[in-house]
Amino acid sequence: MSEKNERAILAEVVARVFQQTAFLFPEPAESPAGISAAEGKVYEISLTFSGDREGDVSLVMTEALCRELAANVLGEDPTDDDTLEKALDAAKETLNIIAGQYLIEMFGNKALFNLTAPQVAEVTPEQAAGDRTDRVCSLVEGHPVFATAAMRAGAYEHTRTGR
Amino acid sequence: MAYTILIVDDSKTIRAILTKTLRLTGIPINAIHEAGNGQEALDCLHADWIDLVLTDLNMPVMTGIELINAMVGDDLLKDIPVVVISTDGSSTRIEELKAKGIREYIQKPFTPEAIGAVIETVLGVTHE
Repeated sequence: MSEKNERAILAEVVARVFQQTAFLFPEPAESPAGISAAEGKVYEISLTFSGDREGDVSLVMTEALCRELAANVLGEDPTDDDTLEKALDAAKETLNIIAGQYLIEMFGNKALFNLTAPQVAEVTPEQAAGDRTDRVCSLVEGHPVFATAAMRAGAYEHTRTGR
Repeated sequence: MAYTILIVDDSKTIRAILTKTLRLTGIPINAIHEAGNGQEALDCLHADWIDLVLTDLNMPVMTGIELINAMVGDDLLKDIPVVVISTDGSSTRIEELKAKGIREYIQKPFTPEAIGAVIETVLGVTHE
């Protein structure tokens, strides 16, 4: 499968999961240089998977979007009392669902994967910009979202020739 | 009869959504307990009477699969119905878990209607 198709599948899954879980509608965006410092804190949420393939899936989102996501997922109006923990927990669950759906779209529903619990790290706007060309960029309610899915080549070769 | 239900998920968000959903189903509920992983669930199962377990699979400390294996191997717990609610949509995984005796499998994201219908079926709840 070409990298272009893999990115198209990831973009489709990201859009679908945001819609299904939070009634938020991502719009495709050109890869921006990064996330402006004016956007506030930025977080990278990531998990790794192993099994029939190995790799990782990640989302980079602003704190503001994480809070909006949590409010929509829980069906509550966002308040100043909402904790950051609640916002990041919703972001982690969203990534979990994206990863599950992406792996099925890529490899079919017979494949078996084990996903690690999502990890969260605050990143600087410069780190968020990164130099990855394989990411999918979207705008959700005006907030940028970067999604990336990467396979480990060694594991792919192993399973492709060993099964 | 009112039921006591245990929700096992490392995500507080999912536990909150499931709790809200259960309250809306109209199923008579005595209590809803929460656990953040399989080990916490086992502790709860040994401490309280539980009528139904709703569990995620991918969790730290003890996974949902390890929890199900522990329940299957425990004479006191093996007959408690288990419904798995997970992002994992692998048919191979679902068949493997059904062979272990789980009653139903719901893939995330779920709708409240799907959760309600499955739980009513598993518990044998009828609306008069």
